[in-house]
This record gives sequence, structure tokens and C-alpha cells, in this order.
Amino acid sequence: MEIKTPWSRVREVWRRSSRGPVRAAWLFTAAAALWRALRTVTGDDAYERYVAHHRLHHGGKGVPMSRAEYFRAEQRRRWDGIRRCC
Amino acid sequence: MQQPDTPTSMGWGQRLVWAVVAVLGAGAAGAIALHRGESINSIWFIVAAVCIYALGFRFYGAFVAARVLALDATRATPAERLNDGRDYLPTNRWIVFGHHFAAIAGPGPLIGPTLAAQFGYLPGTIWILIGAVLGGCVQDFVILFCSLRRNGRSLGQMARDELGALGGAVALIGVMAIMIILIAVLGLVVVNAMKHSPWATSTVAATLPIAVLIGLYMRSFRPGRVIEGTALGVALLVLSVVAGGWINHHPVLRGWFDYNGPQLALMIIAYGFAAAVLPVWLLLAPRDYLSTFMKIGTIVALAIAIVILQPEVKMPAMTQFVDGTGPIFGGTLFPFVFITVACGAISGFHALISSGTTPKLLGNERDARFIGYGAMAMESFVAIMAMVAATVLDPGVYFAINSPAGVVGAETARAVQTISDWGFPVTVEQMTALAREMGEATLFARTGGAPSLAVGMASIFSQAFGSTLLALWYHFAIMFEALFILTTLDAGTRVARFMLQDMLGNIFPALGRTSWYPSVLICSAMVVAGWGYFLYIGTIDPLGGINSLWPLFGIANQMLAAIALCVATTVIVKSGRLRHAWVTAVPLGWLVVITTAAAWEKLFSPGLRIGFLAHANDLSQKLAAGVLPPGKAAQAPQLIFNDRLDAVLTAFFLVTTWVLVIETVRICHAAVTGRRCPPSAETPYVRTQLAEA
Repeated sequence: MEIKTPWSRVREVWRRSSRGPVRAAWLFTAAAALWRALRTVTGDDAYERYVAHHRLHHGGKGVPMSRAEYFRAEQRRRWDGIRRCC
Repeated sequence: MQQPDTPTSMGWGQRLVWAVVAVLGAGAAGAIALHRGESINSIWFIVAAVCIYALGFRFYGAFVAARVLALDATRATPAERLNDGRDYLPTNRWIVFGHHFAAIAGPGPLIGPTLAAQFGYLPGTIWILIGAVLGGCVQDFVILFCSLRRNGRSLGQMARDELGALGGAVALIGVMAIMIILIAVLGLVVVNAMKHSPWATSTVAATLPIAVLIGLYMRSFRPGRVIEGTALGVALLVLSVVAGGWINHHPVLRGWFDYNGPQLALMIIAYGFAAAVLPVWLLLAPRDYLSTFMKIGTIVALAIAIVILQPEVKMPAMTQFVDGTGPIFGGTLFPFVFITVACGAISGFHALISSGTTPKLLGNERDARFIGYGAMAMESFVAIMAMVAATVLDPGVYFAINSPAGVVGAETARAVQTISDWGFPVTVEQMTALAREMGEATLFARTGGAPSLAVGMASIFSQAFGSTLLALWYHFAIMFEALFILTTLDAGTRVARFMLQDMLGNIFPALGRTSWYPSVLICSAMVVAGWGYFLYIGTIDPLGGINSLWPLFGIANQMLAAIALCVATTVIVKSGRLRHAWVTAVPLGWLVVITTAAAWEKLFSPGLRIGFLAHANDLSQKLAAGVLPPGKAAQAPQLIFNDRLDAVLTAFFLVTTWVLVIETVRICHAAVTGRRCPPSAETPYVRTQLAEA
């Protein structure tokens, strides 16, 4: 369940790459990790995570919502309470 | 991966690092507190704040986590036990932190410190730091914990469970009242920033179609593509700032966006109603995305700019206004600095977030400290930056922008004379030049904090990022503030509507159906009428409206914090940890002292700018004696009524706080002596099945 923090992922790749000659690859991996982290934190990949969750927990049973359906359902749910502060 | 939670488990290296942090923090705090001279470098504020938050989190937060609450990493959280893949869902703690921070970060910590700077930089800064570390962070953390152990129940529900029906009802009505006042005062801040400013007004107006466009984009064109939609929206917002400058210079177009305060107030009221009854996806949700990203981006940029530029703070440590004669709001240092800073140190509103959505997402109880304590420390850091942005201005300029015409005089020459006589030299030429640089007609009497913050931010940004486009930065800052003030205004109206529907549903069941459109229309209209009234009166008040509304908001907010701490203290006492109850009882006691003192003064002070009743009586005597000029005489009955209404509200806040505190003491006493009281509603222990623990 627990997703690794972006930082720990970058550190891991750094450790591994230091053994080989391909440090340049590290930059690319770091950028990719950053991009993934950004997508997760902003909720950009929420649908992908939902589909993965659906497959894992309801495997085979029922069809996951489409991207548009999911987005609408999420928005409805989120705004059904206190969302903002002073 | 058990983290070291107690100070004793540290290695020597760690001890050394923390010793250095402690020395650095103490040195910086000492420099701020003891410095007496022309100016002081703002970097000290940043260093002191970062060190104090880090120490508070590492040691006090860990103490509360281990000894007071006894967080248990092996205990399954509601997110795990009740996992439904929607509301309850174990989520990565960084994501939860982001959501939680975005939800608690509002305009309050930007405005409060800006206004409190009238006492000088020191009182506000001290309270922001101490209040957050010992009060605000603890409140958010403990309430999050209480809700975690109660299936994610809300503050109102917990108040009912732990303190009985009376506590629950008081909490609910308190939340409604604070919403109404909060929205009114925020609306007033926006109105004052847009008053007779075609640039600001057109830019803020442009945010509406931009939000709608992004809403359509993310719903129909590219569903759920948040990053794309946001990037597009931010680009359009920046463009709207530039376009606003062009409109401002256009002879015809600028007339379309040039309005006075009451006109703008009516527009905001109409807008607020429309936003409340329109579907969420059209305006509210996309604007919320935009404002969240703008908010975080701008705050980070401001922090970087302050670190690069290290501007000098020119405001004295303390001004003579600690005696209560301040132009921005009347009242002495005690208790009004605490009431004014409010959200940056401790905000009752956060208890609603900590007990609503956040606890349903936490996968591990241990993370409650990181989310609850950590996010509030960051929020408090925003308040410190607002304090820096306000105090790097020349004090004369700061007072000229923030003092209402009713106090320093409507004539610019008289205003600068009054302010210079206080010992804060400023000239009409200086203000005119500044207004011209910022692309405004005038900056005099722009009360509410937003314009002075924008001037401060504009000067910091334009210097740090090597650009001289002051006017663009200024209107960017105004747009950024307006964006999330309007988001709070819409979202707050909606929440207040839900609550009203819930309450009225007990009397007229039809009104309780939240999606029944007539009920939506009626209840939204009632909520908007509530805050709209205070907003409109604020714009015609010669003392500027902020003078009466902000303290009222501060009292309401701190009262809500007191309610939250009552619940927290009761929970700690019932858990058998009476000897640790001081952790929440001491901040509670302090809040009761300051809210009572402030409410008492607002009610009974003979000072015309402090006491609501004194002002009402003075005005009615003048009206009866016929000494008021015709224009003022026409408004006087409305202002008198409003003063008395404010007094009734203040008295209501005072009474409800005390009722709840007495109830808390009674129940805690019953719990300790083994008498009958509502039992602790904590859910039984279930061992976590998640791999990590």
C-alpha cells in the first residue's frame, strides 16, 4: 500500500548507479521519479491508481469506471463536506 | 522502521545536529527580540522560525505523540478497517500532507499578521511562533488523533459524544457563526483591494471565466488531467494580469471596471450566491485547483525571494500603538495581538479539517504527528512570511495604506501629516510615486491587509527576481490573494448552506434534503444574506469595517479553537492521562483568557473604536443632537443597529465559550472522580494487517 517517498526512490537509484558507469541515467530516472511524484501529489494519476486498486481488490468482479465517470464521482464526493479553511 | 520517538534514543551525531539547531534558533530569536536599531535583517525571522518549528516538531511533538497520546503504529486506522476505496483509503503520507495543508492554508495567516504589524514586528512574531508550537500545532495534532480513534468523526460529533448534546449544539452554532463573519471579512478584504482599481477588478473578474474554462476542460475535454488543466489555467491567469494593465490604460475599457466599495460589495454578494447554486464542477472545483497551485507556488517563491534578497525589516520592534490607539484596529496589545494574528498561531477552523477528511486517509497512526503538527508548523511559517512582507515596507507607507480615512483623514495631505506626526515619516509625493509604480490611482486607505501585502510582495519579488515590473507583480499578488479568498468564500458559503439545511431539516424535513433545488436556493440565499449584510455595512463604515469585523472574526475563530481544545482535553482526561492534560488545558486556558478579555473590551470598553456599545451610544447621541452631516446622518441608524448586532454576537460567543468550558470541567471532574459521565467513544484496538507496521 505504502508508496515510497520520491526522495527514497531517488536515493536508491543513486546508490545503484554509483556502482556502474551510467550516472547520466540517474538524472533521467530522477526526473522521471519527480514527474511521477508530481502526478501523485497533484492527483493527476488518481485514475490510474483507482484502476490498479480496483484490479487488486475487486479482481475480475465488475468493471472500473471510465476516466470521465471517475473524475465526476470523485469531484462530487470531495465537495460534500468542509474543504477549505480561513 | 520504527522511528526514534523519544529524545533519549538519539545517537551522538543527531544530538550534535539538534544542539546546533537549538543554538541557531535561540540566537536568531534573541536577535529579533533584543535588536534595537534602524532596521533588522529579515533572514533572522526565517532562521528563528525554521529552527523553532523543527525543535517543536522533533521534541515537543514527539513528547505529545509518545507520552500524551501514546500513538500506536500497530493499531489499524479507520482507513484500513473501513477501507471502501473512496472516503476511507490508506494513502501515502506525503499526499495526505499535501491535501491537509492545502485545506488548512487560507488567507487568514496572510491577513492577520499584516494587521498585527501595527504593534511592531515583535509581538506578532512571538505569538506566531509560540502560539503555533505550543497551541496550534498541538490542537491540530490532538484533534486528528481523537478523530483517528473515533472512525474519523467530525468535531461536532465528537463534542456531542464526549461532552453531551449541549457541547455538540454549541460547536455546530459556533461553526455557522464563524463562517458568516469569516466570509464577510474576507469579502471586505477583496473589495478594498479592487476599489477604484480597474486593473485589479478586471484581473479578478477574468479569474471567473478562466475557472469555468478549466472546469470544462477537466470534465469534458480531458477528464481528470489535473496537471494539464492547471498549467493552462495558471498561464491564462498570468495573461489576465498583463491584460489588466492594458485595460487600465484604455480610456473606455477602464471605466467598465471602475467601482466604489458598496458597488463591489453588491457584486461579490451576487457572485457568492451564483457560485453557491451553480454546480461545483463548473466554478468551485476548478478554481480550487488553480488557487491551491497558485498559493503553494507563490508562497514557495516568496520564501525563496526572502532568502535570496534578505530584505531589511524597517518597522520598529514595538510601536506606540500597543496602548490601544492604533489606526488599523483599536485595542491594546493584550488581548488584541492574539485575536488579530489568529490563524497563523492557532486556528479553530483547522479542527474541522483535522476531524473530517484527513483521518480517513491515514494508513498509520504514527503519521498523525507529521500531518497534524507538521502541516500547522508550515502554515505558521506562511504567517511569518506575511509578517516579513508587511514590515519590510517603510512604516509610514504601511500605515498610509492600512489606515482608514475615518481615522487619519480623507485628505491625503492631512493623512500624511497625521502619520508623520506619529513618528513614521511619509510624504504625499512618496505615496503618489508608489501608487504610480504599482499601477494604481491611489494607495491611501486601502485597508484589509491585502494591498499592503501585495506592495510588500511586489517589492520583494521585483528585486529578488531581477525585474522592475512592479505593477505586474503587485497585481499578480492581488490576483493571487483574491483567488483563494474567493475560493474560501464559495466553499464557506456551501458548507454553511449544508449546515443550515441540516439544522432546518429538523423543523422542515423537505429543507433537509441537500440536493432539493428549492432548498438549495432558499438556504444559499439565507447564508449569502447573512455575510452579505456584514460585508455591505463594512464598506460604508467610516472606520473601515475591518476595525470591527476582523476582531469579531478573531474572537469567533479562537472560540472555535477553545471548543476543539475542550474536546481534546476531555479525551485526554478520560484516557486516564490526567497528569498530561496540561498539554491541551494550558492553551485552552490561555484562549479562554484572551477571548474573554477581547470580547469584554469589544462589549464594554468606553473607547469609541473598541467598544461596540460605546460607539453605538455615541452615534445615537450625535444623531439625536443633529450634529452629523446629512450623508452620515442617513447612514447612522444602520451603523448603530450594526454595532448592537456585533455586540449581541460577541456576547453570544462569550457565553457559549464559557458554557462549554464549564461543561468540560464538570465532565473531566466526573471522569476523574469516577462519577457518571459520557464514556470515551474510542474504538477498540484492532491490530493492523498492513505490511509496513
